[in-house]
Amino acid sequence: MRKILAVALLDFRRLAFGLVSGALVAGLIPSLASGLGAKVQVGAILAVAFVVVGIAAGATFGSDFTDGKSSFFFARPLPTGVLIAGRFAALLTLTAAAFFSFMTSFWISSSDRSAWNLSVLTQFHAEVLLSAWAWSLFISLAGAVRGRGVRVEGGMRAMLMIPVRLSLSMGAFLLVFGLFADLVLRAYFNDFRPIKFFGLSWVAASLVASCVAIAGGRTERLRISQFQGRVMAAHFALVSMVVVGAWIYVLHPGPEAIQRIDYPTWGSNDGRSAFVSGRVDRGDGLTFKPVFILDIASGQAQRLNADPYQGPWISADGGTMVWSAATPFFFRPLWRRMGGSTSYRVKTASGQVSPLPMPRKLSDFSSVRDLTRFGDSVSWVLPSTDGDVFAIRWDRHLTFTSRSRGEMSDIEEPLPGSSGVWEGVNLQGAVFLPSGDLRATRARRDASGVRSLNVIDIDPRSGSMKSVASIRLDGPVRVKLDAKAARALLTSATQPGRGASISLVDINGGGEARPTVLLNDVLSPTANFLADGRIAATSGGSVGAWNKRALKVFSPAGQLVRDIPIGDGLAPRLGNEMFPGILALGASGFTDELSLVDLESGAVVRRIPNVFPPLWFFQSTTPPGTPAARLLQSRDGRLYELPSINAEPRLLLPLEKR
Amino acid sequence: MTDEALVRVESVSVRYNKQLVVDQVSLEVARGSVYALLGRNGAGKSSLMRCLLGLQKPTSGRVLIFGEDVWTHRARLVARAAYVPETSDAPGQLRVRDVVAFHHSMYPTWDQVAVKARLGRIGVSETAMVSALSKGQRALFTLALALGSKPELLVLDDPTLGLDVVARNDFFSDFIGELADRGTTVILTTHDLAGVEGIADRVGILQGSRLALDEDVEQMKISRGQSLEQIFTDLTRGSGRVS
Repeated sequence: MRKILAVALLDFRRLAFGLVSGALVAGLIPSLASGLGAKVQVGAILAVAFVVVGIAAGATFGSDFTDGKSSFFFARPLPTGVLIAGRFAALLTLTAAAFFSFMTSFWISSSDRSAWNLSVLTQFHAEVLLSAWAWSLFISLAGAVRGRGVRVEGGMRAMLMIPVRLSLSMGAFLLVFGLFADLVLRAYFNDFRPIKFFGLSWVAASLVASCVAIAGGRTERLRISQFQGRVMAAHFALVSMVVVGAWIYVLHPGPEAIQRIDYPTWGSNDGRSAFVSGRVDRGDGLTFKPVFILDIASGQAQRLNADPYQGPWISADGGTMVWSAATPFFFRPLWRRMGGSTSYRVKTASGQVSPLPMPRKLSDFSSVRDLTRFGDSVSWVLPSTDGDVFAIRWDRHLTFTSRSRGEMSDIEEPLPGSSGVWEGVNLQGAVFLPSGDLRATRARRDASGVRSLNVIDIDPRSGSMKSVASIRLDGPVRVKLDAKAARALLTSATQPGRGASISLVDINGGGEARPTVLLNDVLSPTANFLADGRIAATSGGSVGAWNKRALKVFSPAGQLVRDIPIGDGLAPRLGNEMFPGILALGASGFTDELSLVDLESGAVVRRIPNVFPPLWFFQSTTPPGTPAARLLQSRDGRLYELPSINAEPRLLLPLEKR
Repeated sequence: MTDEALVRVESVSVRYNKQLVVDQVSLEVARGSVYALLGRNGAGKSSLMRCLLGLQKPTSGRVLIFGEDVWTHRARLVARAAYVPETSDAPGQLRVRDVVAFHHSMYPTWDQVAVKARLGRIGVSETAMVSALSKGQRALFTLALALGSKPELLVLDDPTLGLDVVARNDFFSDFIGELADRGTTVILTTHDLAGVEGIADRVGILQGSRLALDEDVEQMKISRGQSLEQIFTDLTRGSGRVS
């Protein structure tokens, strides 16, 4: 202990005056800033002060190895451990001195006496202090023992190898860091621990490397340099293995890793499979929700290796799928510069996978700047039924590309005007017509504030738009086109005191279309086209009778053909036609319940507690009676299939543990 | 190892990457003797000196002092030894008294009175900063520190570097002689052949990284009929490097 204190005292005598003086000045900063109208956190200034202390103490230790000066310690009866412990004790002593000087200065200059306590110190301060010390020691030691000494002791070859080794090390580090950043971005964006662990591992490694180098090299610079390099190389190898292993393990889970299914989950348009967002037994549980494609009949699930929120986008017949393949994100610019293709992929009905033909103006990671656009470079893709043409929404552009013809047209749409209404073409719910044109809608608001909804046909070859119908609106609506895009259901948002409405519009009429109001002044309505062309609509009651739930069925032209009261309760939500003529209604509240309603008799043929139809904002067009139409979801994250009206739901996911 | 050998160097080689600076050197230093290790610049003297006190690990071979491997047991063994490097290793940002106090904490055998007296003799103020001392003062200060622990073994790496002629003569005639009389074993390297000729019991000459000569001084002069300087010049001509 006596020797530890003796070593600590040496450093204290060397550094205390400068550091304590600096801390006294730093303690004035919060008050000075306050006087200038700026607010400076005491903790932040203190952290900076600790960084300075750490750097100074570490650098002093490291610089003792310059020009053989370390013999001052090693020629004395001073074990290496005691030397290191003494320097660490010096760090703590200097930190304590700086802290009390800082707080004294702050206390005298500030009127805030309550801040004069130890609670201003946090774990963060300890971390920055140790990190600064470890890095400073490592760098100063490396600086002290390299350069001239290496040239003399190791020859010119060693000198020449320094930049080569440095370049290789930097390159390897960037590769590993790129994978690590990819891992964090995809799976741990809401969990700071991996970043902290990664950073602290380097701090710890640098500290261990310095200590090992000091113990193993003593006064020999070349040997110190070699020990430092070996420890860091070993750490780098270990980190590389861990990062590569974690990248493979975390980002590539199989279906057995699914712990619970999440949102969105929906049935495919061909009715055979389901697209399931799953929470898996890795990642932070919020960022990483990989999509699995589940073959319902066999129960086999396969993960779609996609970027988050970048697909899958499916054609109306379910035959064509587009997504952005989850290639290492930070290497994409390099990949593109080397002539690599886009990460967007198309899978056609034949199973062939090829790059998506991309808009020419879309940079698509051809520059490093594009790295800021992770997950949102393309906001939507609508493939045509034949899988050849793609409507791609990105930024303010709607671009049509073709696998056979390349880019066909590009429409640049204006920014929202003073009306604040986004007047761009809405791809969600749009339909490719048999003619090849795209039928879509877009909202408008004229100078007098009158809202309207335009239904337009866009020729992908030229990008020219033709107005098909125009509908005057009172407010924002959700639009659902039928399979032929000949009719539209408009569901307005619920207005306070007025409720909401559901209207039917015949688009083929052309010009200014007059909506047929199906429901008015109702609460939380939902509506959809049935497979036979009829329309089903639900409400959670009316403005005057808020709890009186109803299911109404209308003819294709909009005449009410059946009014089915379904009792009191929470507002129902339309599900699929699970079986021909049997419609699913979900009701979610404190408890969930699914009702199966026979559309002919109007009777509720079955009630299943604790499940609801899969939530999918844009109602899919799953064919009735297909396995995908019979999906059920539970609040505890399970996905079921209902084999028949009276059968017990069959658990699909998560897979049962064997 | 002979019974009287305090220091034994066994086939020590030192290599920096591909550069061999000490090649298979073996020697013994008897207790209470003065051993002068000579060689031109770059002959490997300082590397060997550092190996003697466990400051540096030989690439091969080993060094025993007091009968034990000095690399393995450095901290314990150097408590009985002292080292004076070529240039003073005391941190310049400290005051003389701080450095003295540090040494006081290190050695149970520390003689504070003697050190203070010695500092007074060489005109070094205890309140002076180490960095403010002249080159000669620093060398003498370092010597004073080395002697403060009353070492059984003193390793001096070119200790007269920076000393003026008078101080250098005093050093060899009085200082080393006194140490030898007290029974302290001394190993030193120096370029001052005339100074060392009168006090060294044995001399070793490094030539081209090998120990070309290791003989008793008096016997060597009788058998060869030449002065130490002549012998050194004959042996080392053309083998030195400029450093």
